[in-house]
Amino acid sequence: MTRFRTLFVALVLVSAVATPAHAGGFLTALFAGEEGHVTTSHPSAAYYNPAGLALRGGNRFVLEGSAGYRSVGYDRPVEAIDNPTASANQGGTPEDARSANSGHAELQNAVLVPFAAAATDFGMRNFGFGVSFSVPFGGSADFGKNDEYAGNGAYAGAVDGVQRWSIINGTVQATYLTVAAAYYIPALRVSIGGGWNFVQQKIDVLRARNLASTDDLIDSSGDIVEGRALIEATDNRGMSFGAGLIYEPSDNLRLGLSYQGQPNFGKSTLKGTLTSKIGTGEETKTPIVLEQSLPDIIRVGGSYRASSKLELRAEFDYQRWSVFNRQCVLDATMPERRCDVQSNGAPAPTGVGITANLDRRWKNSIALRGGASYLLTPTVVLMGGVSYDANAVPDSTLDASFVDSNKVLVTPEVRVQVTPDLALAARWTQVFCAKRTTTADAEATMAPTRVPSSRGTYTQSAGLFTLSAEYGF
Amino acid sequence: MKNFAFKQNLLSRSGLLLTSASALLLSGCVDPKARLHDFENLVLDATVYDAQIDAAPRDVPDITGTFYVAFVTKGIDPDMDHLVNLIWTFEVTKGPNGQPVSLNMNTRSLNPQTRQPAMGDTLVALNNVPISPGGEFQLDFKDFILVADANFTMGDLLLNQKLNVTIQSANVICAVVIEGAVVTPIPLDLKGSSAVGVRVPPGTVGNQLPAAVIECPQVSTMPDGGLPDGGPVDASIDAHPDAT
Repeated sequence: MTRFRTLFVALVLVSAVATPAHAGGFLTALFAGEEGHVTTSHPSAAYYNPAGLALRGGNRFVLEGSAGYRSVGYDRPVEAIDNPTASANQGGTPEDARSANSGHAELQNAVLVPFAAAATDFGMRNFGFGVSFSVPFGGSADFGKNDEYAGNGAYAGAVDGVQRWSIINGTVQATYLTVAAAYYIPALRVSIGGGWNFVQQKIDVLRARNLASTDDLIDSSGDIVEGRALIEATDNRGMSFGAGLIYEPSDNLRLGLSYQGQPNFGKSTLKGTLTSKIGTGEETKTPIVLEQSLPDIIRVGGSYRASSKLELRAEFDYQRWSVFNRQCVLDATMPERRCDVQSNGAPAPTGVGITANLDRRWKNSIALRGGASYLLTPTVVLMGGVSYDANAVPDSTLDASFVDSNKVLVTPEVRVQVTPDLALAARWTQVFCAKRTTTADAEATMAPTRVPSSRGTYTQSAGLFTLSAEYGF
Repeated sequence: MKNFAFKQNLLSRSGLLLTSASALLLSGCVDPKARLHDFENLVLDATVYDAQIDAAPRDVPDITGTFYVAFVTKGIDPDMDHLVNLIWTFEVTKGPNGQPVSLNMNTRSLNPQTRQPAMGDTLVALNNVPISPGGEFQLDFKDFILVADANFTMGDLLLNQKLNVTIQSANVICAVVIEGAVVTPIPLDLKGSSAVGVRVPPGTVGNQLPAAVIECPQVSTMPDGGLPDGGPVDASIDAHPDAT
């Protein structure tokens, strides 16, 4: 359930291919709040379960805007430094620059997330059609600077913070324009729907790197070896599909099941440019492609109208994050390019043109959600929900570009029917993330996969205020 | 029907507007390019190297023979795992006054760990390279392939580079890359990279090679590669590459 997932932000990598981190991403997939679920008839059903579009007639239009914050803290221990040395003439990270590669980094970002959807029955009974624009994956991250190194030319990169080897700032996101339709079969009390997503994926990530894939600041001559890698890649032609059904065994009960497929039905290939600047060398640009796979998601749940005023909801999501095993950056000028790497990170004999390989090795995860709506007055509905969203990122590849942990989301919401045609809703979503401390380093130790250690302690929290308007005509 | 068409049109237009507005909202704040430029502005400009063959005339020693060359890539810590190890062989042609005027050379690559000839390596030769009266010459390698077994990236590197080489003595040469870059698999500027070569007996490889020398040595400390000097080390060094 991407909407609860602390998805992205960062990178990188990247390595380069980098990555942004989780970044504000999970917030962007919270659209529709308590009305966005697997049995909903809200226009957001176009994404969550297209079958819901046929469960309510008329024409409806929803516009939603969210604003909030996301904060991330990362403490990198001295033990994470690749080559701590006593003095500058030994290169690496000299004693007087330990705080360039260890200590605290922080992100404090504002979050703005839009969502829009429309649904209509075109005047046909038992039919529903919907369109939505959403950002189910990703977001942006911009880490603060380490003022201790402001203007420091000897350790020029250190000002960008100790997390900079994973990400400095950037955006990783997938935006969906969804077109969906559904039909309700009265005899079976079943609605069946399907949707088609036009997906744009975008990765713009800046991170620090040097040629040895370590966190060395300088060489033994005192020359700067730290550099920067900026990956800018997009895929504007992505597609995926979603489908689902809703069964109404009684007038009070709905059971829903939906499937949201992987963008591009598996591997996505983003095209763009890698800009590299290593030490005092010239800036270079090279055309690249970035390969990654985003997950498919299965949602199953039910809603029960316990009384004329009370509705209860429950949902289980299964997110197949194990497909997000790497982000591979390849030289686009090599037609025979192929991202085959060995378990130690080195290119396999069949691997060709691998510029950087960001090891992810994520694992499948789940989300559980419970919610309720209570009709306080004929025009006011109180809603609320609590969700648990499991971590998908293993210790070995957790870094500042994608900060994830087990988390709980609490969402109080109120909806007011202002006029017969117009309803307004407001909600606050608070995300409580478990603190994580990792001591493991990535298993891949060889170029082009190796990255400086990202071990350390991560904290994260986020809050999001949303105003929503629904107009029916 | 007219009303239906209007609604359709409204939906369509609204969708376009929202898409545009949303893109603006999502992309407005984070600017990786600005942070990259901040870094670039902070880093000192790349050192400007003297690409001219302009050292003052002097008695230039004859470097005919074999040299073990350790190449330090700019921006990479020069430990043994990251050095590029080469064997350069020179054959010098002298002018009427006995002064070296040109040379033919070839280069072979070694595995950085074993310093044995790298697997897949092929000999690259440059001929009729002029030597200046000051004992300098340029080596211009085009489409040079440094095979995977000879570099730490574990992949073949295609590169172009021009080196300004100074004959320090009969037994030592120093070089600096004045222009050039790795072309694939990742663009990498090589300008400012350096190399030092010390004379070794022909055919010497592996453990028989002396320790790598990564900084152009002072005259008084020049290694001789285990060879008899055949006389005192040459005159003063007047043409140090700027970068070393």
